[in-house]
Amino acid sequence: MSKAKAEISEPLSDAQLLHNSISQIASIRIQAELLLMNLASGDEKTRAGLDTIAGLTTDVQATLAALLAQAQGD
Amino acid sequence: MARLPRWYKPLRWSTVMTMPACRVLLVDDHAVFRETLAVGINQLGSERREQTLQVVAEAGSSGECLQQLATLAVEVVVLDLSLPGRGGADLVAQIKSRYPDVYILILSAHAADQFVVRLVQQGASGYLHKSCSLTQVVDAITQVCKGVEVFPRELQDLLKQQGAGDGQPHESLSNREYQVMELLVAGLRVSQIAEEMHLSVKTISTYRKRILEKLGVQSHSELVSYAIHNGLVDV
Repeated sequence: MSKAKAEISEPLSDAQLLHNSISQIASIRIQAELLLMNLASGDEKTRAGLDTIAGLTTDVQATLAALLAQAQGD
Repeated sequence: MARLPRWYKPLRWSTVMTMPACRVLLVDDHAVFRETLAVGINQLGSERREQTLQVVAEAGSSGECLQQLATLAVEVVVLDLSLPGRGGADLVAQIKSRYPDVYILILSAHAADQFVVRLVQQGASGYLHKSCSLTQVVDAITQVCKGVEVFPRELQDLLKQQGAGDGQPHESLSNREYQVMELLVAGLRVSQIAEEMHLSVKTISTYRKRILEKLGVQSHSELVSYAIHNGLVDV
């Protein structure tokens, strides 16, 4: 296996996963703010895109709620 | 009356009245976050009447940050604390010693605790948690660019407490030692800390030994007790 492949397959530590998640979710938040400022069109394609974002966000919220409940139970 | 040359164009009043844009360097190891933030700052920051903002460069590590500062004129560095290499914490003192006129705004997922207080004392002009909105980031950069410090209430309280307790043993810890101390108190093993900080287990063991010596404690439980007693950790 090449070095690059070995690096990719290496599991991330909890701290790294948390750090990555915060940065990625912070990015999404900023993009949502930009969308709110910029988005004027209400065409079908835009609505479908927003639906997808809303669905993904709901999934993330559910996962985080489960994680939080697990952490509080510990 | 002498005729004006053909190339002459009178200055517009708006050009005379507009202050030059505040030049910003973004430092964060996550490229997507950096790029999104840059777009947001440039868009929202260009609409500001009193002071426009412009992201002139980005850096993903301490080394890149110092390289950019060596070649670019920058007023504000927006700095994440979790960076590969030497880490963002060491950068604050480095930037201020080389470029004392550059303002530093910390934008991090790290909670506003005693560690952040140390960075403020080393010259950071502001702190924001990464959960803040784009508008808050733009507002904070605008303030910092004018020389105004931007700290949340909890950090201001910690700064007051710290001011009242000068000369404590923990103040002699280096930034790195302080970070290791925080992680030890949080219950992480030496190997876990080594992994998180991208350092060897031997190096972390050396830090641990130095921390115990400097704080005058003998064991892990004494270290935890010291940290709680001096308000160095949230309990």
